[in-house]
Amino acid sequence: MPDDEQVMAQVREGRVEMLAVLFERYHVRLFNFFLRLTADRPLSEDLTQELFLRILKYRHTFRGESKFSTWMYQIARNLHIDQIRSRHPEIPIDDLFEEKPSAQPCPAQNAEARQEADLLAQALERLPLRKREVLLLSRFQNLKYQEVARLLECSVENVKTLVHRSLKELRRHYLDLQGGTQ
Amino acid sequence: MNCQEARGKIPDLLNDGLAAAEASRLREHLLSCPSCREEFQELSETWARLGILPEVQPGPELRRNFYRQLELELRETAAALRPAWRQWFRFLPNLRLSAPVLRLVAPALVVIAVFASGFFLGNGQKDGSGQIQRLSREKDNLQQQFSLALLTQPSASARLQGLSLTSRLQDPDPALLKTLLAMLDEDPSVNVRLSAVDALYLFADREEVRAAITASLARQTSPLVQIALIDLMVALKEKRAAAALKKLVDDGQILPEVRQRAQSGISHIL
Repeated sequence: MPDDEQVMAQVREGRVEMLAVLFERYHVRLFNFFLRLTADRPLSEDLTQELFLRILKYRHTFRGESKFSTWMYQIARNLHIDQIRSRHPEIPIDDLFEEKPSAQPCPAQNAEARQEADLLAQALERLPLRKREVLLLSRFQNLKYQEVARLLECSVENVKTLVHRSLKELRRHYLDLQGGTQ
Repeated sequence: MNCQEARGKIPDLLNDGLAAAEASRLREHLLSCPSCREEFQELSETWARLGILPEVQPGPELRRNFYRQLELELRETAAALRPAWRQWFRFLPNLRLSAPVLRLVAPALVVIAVFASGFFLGNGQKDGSGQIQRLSREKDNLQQQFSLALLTQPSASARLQGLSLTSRLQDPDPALLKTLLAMLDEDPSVNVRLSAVDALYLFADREEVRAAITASLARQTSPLVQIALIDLMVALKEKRAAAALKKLVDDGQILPEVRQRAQSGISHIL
């Protein structure tokens, strides 16, 4: 079974149909990445679709020096940033990433009736984009901190600090949503 | 290891990023320091809890749109490569033929033009249908390439997707048929083997496919696939399958439903 880099090299050399292999390997994971970032299902499907079109469009820029997944998530991030910029052209992008989400889900009044996964998803949505993104990349997309650091253009130490803080904040939101019990 | 150093390394432990010796030093510190231990427990519990978030499946439109776009891209790529002669015309304005040279080559150009016009006029009518046939072949070829790429994937859902794409093929090539037949015999997923039966039904007008499907009946172990193949043999009225069906009827280990279906299959075929 050829690895991602070999398949992508074939796509780059003109065997465009091989992109189907990468689509089948990654589209669900990418859709979930966008879904956790945006909490918007139709938008996440559009972004996933657009991502594969960009891979096709920019296939000649894949040099095989970095892992395919790192290159792909770089495109995914840019796509997400472009989408945010189009909605809030007046706000600097760094501010948008650090900002607390404005639409806070209401605190759970009947927390016991809620599923744990729902609570956790809500807690995740309460994190600023930057923290949510670093957890999604390192926890769900199985990227190493070095790869996340390359994507976020910061040091590995910064990524680790961010993971540490994000987990603490996530826990706090999760416990709040549970109604302060535990 | 002090507390500050230990806390800095906790994320590494979560992401399997610590060498064994380093991980062991950190664990030693955590055993001896209640405050860092509590920090580690909180973080690792939250990290582990994230694992309960379910993977959400996108709608079927996503896959459909992707393959539609890919097919368009392939056609565009093919179209861009095809008219190589157009490249030559780019140079024509730069050609400066001197009068003597023109006088020499003119008669030859006229002869070529007369022959060429006859050739194109004579073939004009054929050209239209030829182009349609060529486009249809191209489309079939693209779909074969998609199907083959998907049929060899480790994910069963991708292989199922590949099987459903084969239903659009007019003229599958031998490599694809060979892959389909191998899937019928060897695929680890029963669902995929069942879908392979359906996919092969469409190509059962080919002698080699009928022979291979008939032979496969004896190799199947899943009752679901056995029943699907028996039904297929009946639909095809494949007399050669009678011996394999008889063998199933006589098999003491076989499920009663399968034996019954095989028995009734024999009476329909013969």
